[in-house]
Amino acid sequence: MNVKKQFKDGLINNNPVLVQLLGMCSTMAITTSLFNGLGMGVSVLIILTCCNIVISLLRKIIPNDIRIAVFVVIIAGFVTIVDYVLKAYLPALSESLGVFIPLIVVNCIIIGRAEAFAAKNTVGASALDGIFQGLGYTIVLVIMCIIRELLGKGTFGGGLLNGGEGIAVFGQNFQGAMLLTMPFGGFLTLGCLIAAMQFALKKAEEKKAKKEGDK
Amino acid sequence: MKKILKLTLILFLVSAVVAGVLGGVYIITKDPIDANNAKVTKEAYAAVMPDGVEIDPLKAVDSGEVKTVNGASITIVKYTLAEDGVTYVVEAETTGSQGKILTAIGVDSATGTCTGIAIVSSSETSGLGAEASKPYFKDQLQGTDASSCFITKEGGTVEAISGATITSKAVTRSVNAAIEFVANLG
Repeated sequence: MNVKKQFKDGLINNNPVLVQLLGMCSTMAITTSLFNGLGMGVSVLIILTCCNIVISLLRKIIPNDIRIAVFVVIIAGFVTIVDYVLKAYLPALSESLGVFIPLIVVNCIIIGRAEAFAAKNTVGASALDGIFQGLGYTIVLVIMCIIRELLGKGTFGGGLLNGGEGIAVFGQNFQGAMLLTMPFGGFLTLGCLIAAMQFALKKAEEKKAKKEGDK
Repeated sequence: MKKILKLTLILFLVSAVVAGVLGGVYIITKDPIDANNAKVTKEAYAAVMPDGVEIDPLKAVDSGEVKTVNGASITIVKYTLAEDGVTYVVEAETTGSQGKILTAIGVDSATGTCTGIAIVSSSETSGLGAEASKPYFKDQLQGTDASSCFITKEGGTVEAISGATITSKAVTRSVNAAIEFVANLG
C-alpha cells in the first residue's frame, strides 16, 4: 500500500475530473455556489469510499460475468441512502442539488473506481482510494464554484455565509457575468481548469526529465 | 445451467441485502422527511397570506381542474380556505422554460385579488427564471386582479424578469388561473 502515491494520484496526477475527465455532468451542473460544491463533493466522497470498501470486500465472491450489475446495485444502494439522509437532515442542500444526488448512481467516477481499483485491490487501499479520489473531486468542484460564483454573481460562499446570500465581494451593485452561472459558463471554467492542470503536469514532467538527464 | 443458477443467486442475494438496508434507512428517515415537506408547504402558505391570517395546509382539498389562460394550460393541484373565511390558497402547476413550476397563490375571494405568491418548486434557470421567487418580482403580483396580472407586454402591470418572458408569463398566468378558479368556487 502506497499512501503517498495514492494521495498524489487522487489529488493531482490522476485527478478524477481534471485528468481522468470523469463526472463531468455534475461538475458543470452544480458548481454555482460554494454550498452546492461542498455538499456534492462530500456526498460523492462518502459514497465513493463506502462503495470501494464494500466492493473490495466482495471482490473475491462477485463472479466476473455479473460484476458490473452487482457494482451498480451496491452503488445505487449507497446513493439512495445518502439521498434519504440529505432529504431528512439537510433539506436545503437536497433542494438545491435536486436531481443530481440521485444521479450520482450514474456518475462514472464511482463505477470507474470500482472497476479500475476496488475490484483488484485490498480493502484498506480501496478505502484510501475512495477518500483521495473523492477529495480530488471535491477540490475541483470547490475551485469551480469559487470562480463561477465570484465572476458570475460577485459573491463568495453562497448558501453558506451571510445567511445564504454569500458575501458580496465587489459591493451590492455588481451585476456579474451571468453567463458564468449558466451551464455554458461551466464548460468555459472547466476547460480553462483542465488546460491549466495539463500545463502544470507537463511542466512538472519536463522538470523531472531534466533532473534525471542531469544525473 | 449450474453457472446461471449461481450467478442468479448471487445477484439476488446482493439485491436482497441492499433492498433490506434501504428499507431500514427509509423507515428511519421517513418522519424527518415528512416533517420537512410539511414545513416547506406551511411556510409557503404563510408567506402568501395577508399578515395575521392563519391557514392549515393539511386541510387542502385536491382539485386537478385544468384552466387555460392565454393559451397556456394550468393545473389547479389543490386549494384551501384560510381561517378568515375569505382568503384561499391555490396550488397551481404549469410549464416554465425548464420544467414544471408549482406555485402557491393567495387569493382574496371578496375582491378577486392576489394576496401573494410563493414558488413551491421549480427548475428554472439560475439567475433568470429562478429570480421569480425573489421579492422584486413576486411582490409586484400582490394586489393584482384578473385584468392586471399580466406582464406589461400583454397589457398588464407586472414587469417581467427579463426580455425572455417564459417564466414571468407562466407565473402570472398561474395567478390568473387561481383567481378565476376561486371566483367560480362561489
